Amino acid sequence: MEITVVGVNHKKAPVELREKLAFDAKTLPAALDVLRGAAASTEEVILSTCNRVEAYFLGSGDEDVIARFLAAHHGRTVEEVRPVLYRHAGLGAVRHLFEVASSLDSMVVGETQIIAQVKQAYFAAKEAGHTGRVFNPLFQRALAVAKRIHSETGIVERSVSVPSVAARLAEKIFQGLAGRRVLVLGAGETGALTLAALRERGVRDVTVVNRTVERARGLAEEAHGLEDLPAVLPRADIVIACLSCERPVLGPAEVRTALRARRNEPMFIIDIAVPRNVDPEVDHLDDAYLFNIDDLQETVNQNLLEREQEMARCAPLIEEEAGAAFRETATIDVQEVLTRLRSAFEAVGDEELKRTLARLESLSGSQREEVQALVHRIVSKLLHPPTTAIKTEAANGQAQRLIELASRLFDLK
Amino acid sequence: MIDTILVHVAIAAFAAAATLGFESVRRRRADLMLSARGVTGAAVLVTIAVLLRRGVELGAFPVVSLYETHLFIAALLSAVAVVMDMARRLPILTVGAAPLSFLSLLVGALVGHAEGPPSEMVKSAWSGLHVLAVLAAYSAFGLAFVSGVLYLIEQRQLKAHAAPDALGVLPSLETCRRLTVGAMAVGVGLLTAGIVVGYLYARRVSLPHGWRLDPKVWGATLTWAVYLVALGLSFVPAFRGRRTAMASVACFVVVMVTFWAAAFWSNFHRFL
Repeated sequence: MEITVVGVNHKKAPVELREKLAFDAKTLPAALDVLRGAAASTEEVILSTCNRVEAYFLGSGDEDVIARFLAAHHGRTVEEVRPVLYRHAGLGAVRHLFEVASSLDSMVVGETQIIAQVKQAYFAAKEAGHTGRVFNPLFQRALAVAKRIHSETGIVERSVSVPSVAARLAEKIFQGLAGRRVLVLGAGETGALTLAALRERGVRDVTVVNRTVERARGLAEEAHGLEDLPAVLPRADIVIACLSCERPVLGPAEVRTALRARRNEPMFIIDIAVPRNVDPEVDHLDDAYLFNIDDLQETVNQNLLEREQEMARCAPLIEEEAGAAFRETATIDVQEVLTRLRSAFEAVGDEELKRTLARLESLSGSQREEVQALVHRIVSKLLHPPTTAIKTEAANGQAQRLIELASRLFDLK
Repeated sequence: MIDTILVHVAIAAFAAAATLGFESVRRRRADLMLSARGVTGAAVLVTIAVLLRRGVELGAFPVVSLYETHLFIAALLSAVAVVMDMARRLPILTVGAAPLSFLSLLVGALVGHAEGPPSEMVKSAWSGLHVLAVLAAYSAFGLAFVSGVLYLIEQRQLKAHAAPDALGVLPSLETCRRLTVGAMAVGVGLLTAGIVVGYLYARRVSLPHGWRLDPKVWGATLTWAVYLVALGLSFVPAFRGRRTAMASVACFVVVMVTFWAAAFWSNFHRFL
């Protein structure tokens, strides 16, 4: 029985196919039961996120088996699913799990959502009774390795999206964002994403100004038309400009007036519109801090590059941890096989001993003990070479072959 | 002998703390920052130990000359910085204060302490209170200087569209501004108290005529005046932000000039 993972991710399949293969929390326990039967496995975890669907199992299934399982569960065809699947087994599967949990295999390297998703998938499988001696320590170790990677490398340190860079900049200007007032110029999606990043950091007071007030109400309760902009601008600590228009709607004069009205409290202006909504001259005002889409994107690109470079530092850590984890899982198998082997030999020895002693009633007590000791010594000596060989191979991470052989040779169940 | 050794240990510790702090910022290592705080704390304790020994030796509040003044300011500045760092998660304060404390202690060690019994005047509680208030005020102004410099650095970086991660452990502009104004306010309050106590004590002991013309008295009054003006202007909208930060830096130069000039030319503030 080998640790195996078969799945599909953003590198091999388009989002249209991935979303059709996703599992939801309600159907997951039943899916795990089906997977157990399909892959002839003893432990299973299904990880389903927007960028991947992976089946981890302790069994002998291959891509064909999992393709049939996924196709049957989601009403697709095997021909549709099979070509985009990948498979890793043994040490490769352990390494893949650790890379996934550490976000090294994510679409955005260093994203922190995946660790919670792996945790959720593991706990769902555990609660449904689909994890055991191997997957419990393995997945717990995967989560620990992810935390180690995050703390010992710079993989998660820098913001890699325009909204998160904008939110970090706001935190460099203001002492905390809770209680800050945000003005959104325009009601487009990019503005909404930036607003969401600010809301995550505590912003609650939001005003939207748009050409059509009805559309603005979709983003916030307080909505105004463009004509109200001079009146609402002074109240804003942060301005997100994302209006579709040919010419700037905010110039130095308007911002200077607004700053004066707010007693020169600083104003952070994020201009993510193209063409720009804010005249670049505004940046020359002392208490106005203007960042446009190019400034933010340049930071994002630089940060992505640095995260990619950090991956080189992660590889040896992953290799070290995966190797240690794989050897530990091999040890679990080894201990079980050796226990079963000894039990099988001792069972034969005890049965023959019982039969023989029943025929030799004339033996004294000490003679009976001598015969019992003889049988136990024979059993121990016969077991010694295979036990030593299996333990030696386990230390090198190569015990799987011998375990299977021993199971077949001695009919271990 | 022991005091000399202890002072040298404290100097080395502040230097190490400054290096650790700088490296923690450069390499983004939280463990180095933790070490910097610990070493700064140890340096403060050693400096306080020297001052306590000096106090016992003098039988008075242990600040009677330039030597003790520098030790006192070094200890107080870093102690306040570390406490505020830990309370408000502002590691940059420890990073900024450690080198200033190192310099202060080094100057004190180079000046050396004068021998001889102290004047009876310094054995009074009035004198101790006066010195404590004035030196605490100067330390507060030192903190305002540090936060003012941080404000100016960060504002310049933001105007150059630096990435947020490039700004490292610098606190937000608003935090720097509040620290600057708060430290100036505390400093003005303490200096007011120090000047008033000093004035009342001078009248109580009937100092000879002319004490009002002492350079140290003028220096302290000038310092008080410029900081009061700077503090008042910080509440005027047109002077908020960058101008307040520049004022806190410029006023600290006044502190340094009046402190040193007055120290050399003062007649009434020599107690050994």
